Formats: sequence, structure tokens, C-alpha cells
Amino acid sequence: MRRDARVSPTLASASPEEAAAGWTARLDKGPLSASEQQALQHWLDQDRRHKGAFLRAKAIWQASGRLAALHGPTAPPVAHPTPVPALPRRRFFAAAAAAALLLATPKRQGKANSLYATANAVSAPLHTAFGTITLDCYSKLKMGLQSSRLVTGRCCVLGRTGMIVKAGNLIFAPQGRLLLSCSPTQVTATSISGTVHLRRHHSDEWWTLNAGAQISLTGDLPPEVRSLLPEEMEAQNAWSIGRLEARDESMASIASTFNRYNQRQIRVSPALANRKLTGVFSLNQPEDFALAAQTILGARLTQTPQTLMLY
Amino acid sequence: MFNKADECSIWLATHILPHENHIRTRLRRYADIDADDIIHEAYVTIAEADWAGITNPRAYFMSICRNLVMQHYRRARVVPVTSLALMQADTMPDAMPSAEQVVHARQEMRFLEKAIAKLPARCRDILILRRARGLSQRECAAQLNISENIVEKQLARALVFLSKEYSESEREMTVDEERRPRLAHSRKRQP
Repeated sequence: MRRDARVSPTLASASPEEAAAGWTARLDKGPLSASEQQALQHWLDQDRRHKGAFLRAKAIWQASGRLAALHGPTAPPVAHPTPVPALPRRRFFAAAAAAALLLATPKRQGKANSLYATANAVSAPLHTAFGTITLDCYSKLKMGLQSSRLVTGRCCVLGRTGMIVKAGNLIFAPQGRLLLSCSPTQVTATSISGTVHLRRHHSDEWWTLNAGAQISLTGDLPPEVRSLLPEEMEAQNAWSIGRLEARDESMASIASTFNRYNQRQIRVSPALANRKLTGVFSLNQPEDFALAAQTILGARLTQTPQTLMLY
Repeated sequence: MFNKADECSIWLATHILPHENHIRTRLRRYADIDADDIIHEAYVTIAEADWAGITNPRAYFMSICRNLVMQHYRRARVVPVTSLALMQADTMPDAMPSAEQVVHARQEMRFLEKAIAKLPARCRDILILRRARGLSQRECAAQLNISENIVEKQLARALVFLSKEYSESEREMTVDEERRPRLAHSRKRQP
């Protein structure tokens, strides 16, 4: 195959790879005209190997999307280059009080330290001087004037210069979107956009996480860093935008995720528990999911105000 | 969010494409076959199967290819005896891949990074704008002040090149190096 070969879907002499690449690029541009659609179908029907080359070209196209994790988006959605002056105390309290949906209990009187805890729902974004923090269900956050600490659970931080969030033994300065999760044994941070500087407690060595990178720290072991695929990032980021992304996930596991976020509980019979589903659902609409599962799996659904029973 | 065809492409990109090199190495031992043809046919067979339920994609991919080679030999007038013997010796299916055989996402990205570095500059720029920065073909054209037609052609050219890289590269698909706990790629002090 010549390197400089012109590739065009219509080029009769093109190799199957060239024609497949041509069609994949053409489809990426926009919908096909009727005659193009016909030409593509004709080419696919000509030979089973054409269909294989086309499937493979589309798979390579998908794989090339991983370049996003290396090069990142053009501009992080939230990144203010100039430092923002510290917010006066009064505005901070006003912002903290605005988060009325939460169980907010001031930890100690007279100090700007508040403990926020969520039950079976995601919090509204909590405003701090340097951005917002959204808490996942069953999570706890201690918010102070200078910094906040994720005590347990998960949160999504949209930060700009000045934002400091702590979790476990790590201190983060995110400029962009950062997902944090903290359990007694492990802290995991995923940079969704922008960059995050981080360091360990009692250490002055800073590291940088770029968009698409994830760091995990378990006990005293050295931190582990890995890059995520775009689809992994989407799956991890899903809860913070109110979505549940299931990829070949068992019914039992999907139901347990819904049950963490909703009053109305989904019950799945043992016969269905291991059936697998793929799809994107709205986290706070367990009813929609139950209806979809009913249709896809041919299950029966019984509804009460408190439960959705699939069997 | 994705339609069925997209999901299939993502699945193939994640579970099949990374093993192509390993499969091609094994296919090369068989005489009188065209590895490209076998691989292309295997993609169709896998896409038509219930791919989401495949638990060991590499072993599945190999067994599909082996069956296709067998079919090819059944149709051929002259069957190379050595290949047939190989085929019989080869019937043990691949066991579940060990951790070393599972292709690490990071390693895949390093492969892609190396591959696109070899592309001609304009072709590379267009691919990065479209696939890494997420610009549409029209936006790429506007940004580079070229026609949309050129963008489309260059993307197709990049795909042909990547396709060749995936089939020819002699990548060692191990994760030993990746498994070592290590710290972030860039270490810098906070200003």
C-alpha cells in the first residue's frame, strides 16, 4: 500500500483498508446522501472482507479517541488564570447557608468550619471562595475558609487558583474539574479537565495530574498513577452530572447504585440479578430504568410507592 | 448516548484491536493464507456475534481466526500439510490471559502517541484537532484555513496509516512496567 495513496470512498482501485478509512472519515463529516449511502452499501455487500475492513476502521477510529487523554481539551471549562482574592467571611457564610438542601451542621461555634453530610442524594454545588464542591450520596465534607476536607465518600470539585481540598493524606490544588473519593483505606483522585497540583501531608514536593489521569493512594504504599480512557472518564464522571452509565453491568449492581441515590428502591429477583445491561440512565429516575429493564429483559415489574420489583 | 454500531466499535477497539498483533503473529505460521483477509472476516464474525457476552476476547478472536483458516484450507485445492499439522497441535484454546497479557490502556496510548508522531505534520495536526481536541471536521477546516474536503481526506489517510501500524507493529503487549507503582508523569514544584 503506497503511503501517499489518495484515499477516497469512491476510488475504485482503493484497497479495502483505504476504502474503509475513506468511508469512516466521510461518515465522520456528516450524514451520507442517498447515493453515497447506496455506494457504501454496494461496497459492503460486494465482499464480506469489505465489511470486516470497515468494522476495523471504525474500531481504529474509536481507539484514536484515546488521544484526547494525551492532549486534553483545548481549554478547561473552568480555569481562571488570575488569582482570585480571598472572599470576605460574610459572603462565605451566605454561600454556605444557601446550600439549603443539605444537612449542614456547624461543627464548632464561632469557626468557619462546617460539616456537610449527604444521605441518598447528590448535594447541590457548595460554593467556596475558589469554586464549587458537589458531594455524592453518603459523603461527608468539612468546609473551612482556607481549605475543605473530604472526610468520606465522593465529591466533584470545580476549582480555580486558591482552591485547596484535602482527602486522606493528600492535599489537592485543582484548577479545573477534579473527582475525589475517600474511604478509610484509599484515596483516589481523577482529573477530568484542567490540571491538579497535589502533595502529601508533611511533604513539600508537588506533583501535577493532567486531565485524564488518576492517582490512587492506599495506606502507606507509593501512589499509583494511570491514564483513563475517554469512556472510563465518562463513566467515572457520570454521577456528578446526574447520570448512571452501565457498561455490561449486572442488574444487581445497577439496582444497588440506583438504591443509593433514591428513596424508591429497586428489587431484583435472583433470576435477573446476573443479567447484564448497557445503557445511560438518569440517576434519579429509577422508574425509567425499571421500565427499560422490563422491556429489554422481558421481565415483569410490580410498582409500589416505595419499591420497584423486577422479576 | 451511543448507538449499537458505536458500542460495537468501542468494544472492538477495546477488546479486539489490541490483540491483533498477537493473533497475526500466530497466523503467520500458516502457509497460503492472507492474514488481512482472515482478520477482516473475523471482525465481521465477532460483530455479528453476541460480543458483549464474550469473556475472553483474545481467546475468542484466536479461535474465530483458526476456524476461518480451517475453512480456507477446506476450500483450497492443495492444503499445506505442515499447516494442517500445526492446526491440530494448536487446538488448545488460549487460557484466560494473565495479567501480563492484558493490554494496558496507558500502553495503548503510548503506542498511539508513537504512531501519530510518524504521520506527516498536517495529517497529524488534523487528527489531533479532530480526535484529541474534539473539533468537528468543519471547525478543523476553519482553524487551519483549508477545505473540509482536505480534512476528510487527511483523516482517512491518518486512519490508513494507523491501520497499518496496528497490523505491523511488533508491540510487546505486557504490563510489567506499568504495574510498578509510580508517581505522576510530571513532577514539579508549585510556583
